[in-house]
Amino acid sequence: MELTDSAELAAFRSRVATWIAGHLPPGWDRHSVPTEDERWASFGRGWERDLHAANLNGVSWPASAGGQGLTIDHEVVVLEEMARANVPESINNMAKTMFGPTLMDHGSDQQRKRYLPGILDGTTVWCQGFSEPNAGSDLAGVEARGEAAEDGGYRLYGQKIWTSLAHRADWMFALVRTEPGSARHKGLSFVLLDMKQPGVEVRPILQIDGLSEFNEVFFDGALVATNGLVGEPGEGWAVAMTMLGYERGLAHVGRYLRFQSQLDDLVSLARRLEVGGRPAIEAYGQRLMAVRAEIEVYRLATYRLLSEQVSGPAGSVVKLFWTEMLQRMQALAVEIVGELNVAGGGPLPQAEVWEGRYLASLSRSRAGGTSEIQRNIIAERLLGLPR
Amino acid sequence: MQFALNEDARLASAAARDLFRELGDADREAVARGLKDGGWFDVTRDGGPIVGVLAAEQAGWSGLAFPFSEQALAAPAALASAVSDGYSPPATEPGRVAPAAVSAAVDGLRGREPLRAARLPAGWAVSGTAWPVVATSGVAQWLAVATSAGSGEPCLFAVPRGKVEAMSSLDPAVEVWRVDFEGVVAAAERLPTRALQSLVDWGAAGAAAEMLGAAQRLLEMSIEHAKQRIQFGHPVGGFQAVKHHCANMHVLVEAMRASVWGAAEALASDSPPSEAVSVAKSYCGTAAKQVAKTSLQVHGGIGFTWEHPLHRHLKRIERLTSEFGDARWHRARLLASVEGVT
Repeated sequence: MELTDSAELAAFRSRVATWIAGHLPPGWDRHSVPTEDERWASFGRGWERDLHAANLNGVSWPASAGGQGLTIDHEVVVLEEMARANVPESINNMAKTMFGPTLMDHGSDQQRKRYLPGILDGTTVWCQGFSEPNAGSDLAGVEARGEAAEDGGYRLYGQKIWTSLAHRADWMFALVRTEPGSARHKGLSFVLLDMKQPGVEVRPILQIDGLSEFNEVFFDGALVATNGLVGEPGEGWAVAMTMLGYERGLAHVGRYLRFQSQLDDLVSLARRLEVGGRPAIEAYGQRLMAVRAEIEVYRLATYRLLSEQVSGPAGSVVKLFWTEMLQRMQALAVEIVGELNVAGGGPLPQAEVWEGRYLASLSRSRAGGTSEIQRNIIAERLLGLPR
Repeated sequence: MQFALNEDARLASAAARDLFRELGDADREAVARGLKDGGWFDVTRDGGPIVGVLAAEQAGWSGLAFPFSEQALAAPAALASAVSDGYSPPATEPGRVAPAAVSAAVDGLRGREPLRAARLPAGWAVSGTAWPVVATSGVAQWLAVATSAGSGEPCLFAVPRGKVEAMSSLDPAVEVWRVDFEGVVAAAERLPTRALQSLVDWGAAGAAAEMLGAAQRLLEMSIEHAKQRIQFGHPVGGFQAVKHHCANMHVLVEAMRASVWGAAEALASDSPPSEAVSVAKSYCGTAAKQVAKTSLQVHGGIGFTWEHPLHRHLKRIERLTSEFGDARWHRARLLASVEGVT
C-alpha cells in the first residue's frame, strides 16, 4: 500500500503544477463559469489544445492514439493538479475518460486514426447519445433507428434526450436500433455521427438551476458515414457496456480536491462570521467535519477503485457514495450560507455560486444511472440477491 | 499510487481469520492463550499497521471474546513507542497490559473526572477512579491516561494492577471494570509524550477496523437471511426495498474499509497519522451504527432475539463507537487540524 508519489511521479506532479500556474488565464482559477456560458466552451477548447501541445493531455493513452504512453498514475496526477488549481472541468471529459478508451478496444485501425487525435487536441468535442424519452434507466429500450444507406452507412431517425453538451459537441457517439423488428439488447449498433449536418436538430432543455447543459437531439435522416459503425452491426450493446465500464474510475479523480477546497471555504466562512453572537463554526463544525471525513473516504475509495482495476459493479459503489456525499455537502453549504445571509443582513458575495452547486448536486442521483439502478446493480451483481 | 492489499497482507489476514474463527466459541482464557501462541500480541511490531488493522477487522468479524484493539494493538504500540523514546518497561507477559481512562481524558465528556497524576520524589502517584475500563481479567498492568497537576496535560502512565471491580457490559464479548487507583503511590511511571499519541491512534484505527469487521459480518448475515427468508412466495431479497437496504450496507462497509486502510497507511508512513485515524474512527463509528440498524431491519423479528448472533455484533459496534474517542471527539480533532483555514 503506497499513497506517496515516487520521486519520478513527484517531479512530474511539480512539472504539471508549474505548467498550469503558467497557463491558466486570470479569473479562471477560482469562480466556476457556467458550462452554458460561451466563454466556458471557448476556454475549454483552447485549454485542451494547449494541454495537448504541452504533452499533458491523455498522458496514459498510447503514443499511437496521440497520448504519451505513461501510466494511470500520471493521468491521476494531471487530473489532481488541475483540480487543485481549480481549472474548470474538461469540455471533453466523456471522450477522454470513456469514449476514447472504448474506441481503442472496439474501433478499427482506421477509426482510431481518424477520431482519437481530435479528442486530445481540442478540435473534436463529443457528446453521448444514449438516453431517449422511453429509454432512461432501461437503456435497452432504445428506439432511435438507423436505416441502411446506399453507401454502407446509416440514416438516423428518432430522438435522444438528456444529452449533455450536445449544443457544444462536434460529434456524437450513439446507440441506435439498426435491425428493424429487433428487441431489447439485440439489433442495436454503436455509431458515430457529425453533429454539424442537416438532419440533426439540438434543442436545449432549461434546467431547474436556470442553465441548459443538456438537450434534446432530433434525427431526421442524419448520416452515419460508411466508417461510422464501431464494432459489428447489431452488437452495439457490448460496446456501450465497455464504455460504461470506463465511466467509473478516472471520472472521480480530482473531484475530492475540488470538494476539499469548497469545504475549506465553508470552514473559513463559518470561522469569520457569527450566528446569534457566536462564531458559526461552533454550530456547524461537527457537521462540516463529518463531510470532510467523507471527502477523504471518497478520495481513498477512488484510489482503491483505480488500484484494484475492477470495473462494473464496484464502480456503482463509488458512484453512489459520491452522489450521497456531494448532496449532503451541498445541502449543508446552502444551510450555512443561508443562515449567514440572514445573520449578516444581506447575501454573501458567493451565495449564488453555492446555490448553483446545490441545485447541480441534485441531478447527480439520476445522471449517469439513477441511484436506484446503482443499488440494484450492487445487490444483484455484487451481493448475489435474486433478480 | 497503490491502494490495494499485497499478497503478504492477504495471507496474514487469512491467518487471523482462520485462528479467530477457531477461537470463536472458546472461553476467554483460551482466546488469550491462542492469541499469544499465534504471535498476535506482537502484531504491531511484526506485522505493522496494515496487518494490525486486518487482524482487528477479523476480530470484529468473528466476534472474538477479547478486547483486540486495546490489548493487542493500542497497548503494545504505546509501549513500543515509549521504548523507542528511551523508556525501559518492566517485564510483562504479552497481552496483559491494557489502556485505562482513555475516554475520560480525551473526551472530557459524560461528567467523568480524568485521573490525576502527581510527581513524588521517586515516581508518580496516580489517583482517581476509571470506568468503564474494557480489559481481560488477567491484566497485570495499566497504561492509564492521567492529567498531571502541574501542566494540566494528559499523559500516559504505566501503573501496576490494583483494585478492580467488575461492571456489567453491554457487549458480552468483553469484561468491563471499575478501576480504583487510590493508593497506587509512587508506583506509576510516566511514559514519553509520544506514547499517548500512539495509544490513541492505534487504538482508534483498531476500533474502526473491528467495527468494519462487525459490519461486514452483519452485511453477510443480512444477505444470507434475505436469500432464504420466503414471504409472498419469494425470497425477501428479491424485493427492491430489501435489496436497497443491502446495497446501502455494502456501500457503507466498502467506504469503512477504504477509511481503515487509509488510517493504516498513515500509521505506516512517516506522515502524522492522526488526521487519517480521525477520519476512519469518526466515519466508521457513524457508518457501522447505520449498518447495524439496517441489518436489524432486514432480519425482521429474528434479529431481535438473544438466540440470534446479530446482537453480539451490534453491541460490539455500540461499544467501540465511544472507545479511543467517539465520532464527536475525532471530528473536533479534525477541525483543529484544518490549518491555514481561518
